[in-house]
Amino acid sequence: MTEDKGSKDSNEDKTLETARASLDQSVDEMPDDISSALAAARQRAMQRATSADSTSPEIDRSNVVEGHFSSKRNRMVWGGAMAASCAALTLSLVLQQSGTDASLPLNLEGSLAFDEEDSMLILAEMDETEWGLVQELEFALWLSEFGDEAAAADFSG
Amino acid sequence: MAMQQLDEFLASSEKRAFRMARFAVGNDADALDIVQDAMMKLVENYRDRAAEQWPPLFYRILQNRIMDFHRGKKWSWLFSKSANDDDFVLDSAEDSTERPADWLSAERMSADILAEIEKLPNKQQQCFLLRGWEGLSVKDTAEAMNVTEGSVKQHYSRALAKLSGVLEQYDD
Repeated sequence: MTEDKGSKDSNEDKTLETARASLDQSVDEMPDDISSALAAARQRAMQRATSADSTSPEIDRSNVVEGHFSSKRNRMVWGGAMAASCAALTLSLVLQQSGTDASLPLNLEGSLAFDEEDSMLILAEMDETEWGLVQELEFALWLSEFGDEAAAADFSG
Repeated sequence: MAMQQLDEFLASSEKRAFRMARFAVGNDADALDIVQDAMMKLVENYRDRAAEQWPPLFYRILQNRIMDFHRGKKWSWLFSKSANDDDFVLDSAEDSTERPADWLSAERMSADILAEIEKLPNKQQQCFLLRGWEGLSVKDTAEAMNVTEGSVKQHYSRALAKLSGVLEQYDD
């Protein structure tokens, strides 16, 4: 058993030694054009580092600022989209629940029949004040719904 | 001083790195691009690191570039109808099928070993080259290849077993 292991180890050592020798030989016999191309690439890399060291490290502020704003813009757009989806969902639920055909004297359903994309666009463009109003409106709707439920509970009770 | 040291390190490693990349990608032009890219990245980003950190960092960058190459190749193959599988056939692998009468010579054995290394699956091949040839520790090899240390041991031992198989043919 230990003999087998010893023989295996010795085979592996021999393999490793042969492989290393073959690899080293292949490197020593590397064609001149490749050797010089590698040397040139190394020099280019070193020169770039030297020139970078000699000039003060200057961060491209415009990119940083642009990146900041673009990420902020992205956040705003996504936030707007999310809010628009929520608002559209709330409105559709409210309209569905309140039975617009019978209860609304005006044909509000027609005027409110904008699609989700429109509402997303509108809500995405809102500023903070307008967005605050929408939130208050949503709260008021929720409160009125809550009031109806409470009243219904009172009557049944 | 540090820049001179870095230059010396790259000078001593560039040919071996090229050989590794050449094994992995199968042609000189891409191997040269990969090595050049790795040298640029090391110099640009890690020149201020301690000298003993350069080898694992350099080989890690090299391995990443090799992986990028294979990923790019995979995608271009998937999207291109004209992709030719022959691109992946390596010259020396073809040569290894030829068996001249004097195949017992040391030169032939060396060529067969190199051909076998070239035929190894990418991870086994790079693991063997980093660990067995470049002499990186298991830990550094694992970091360079972005795999676990256990995985390094497994790839290395499989590669070694395959190469031992080549030598056994000469022992018979």
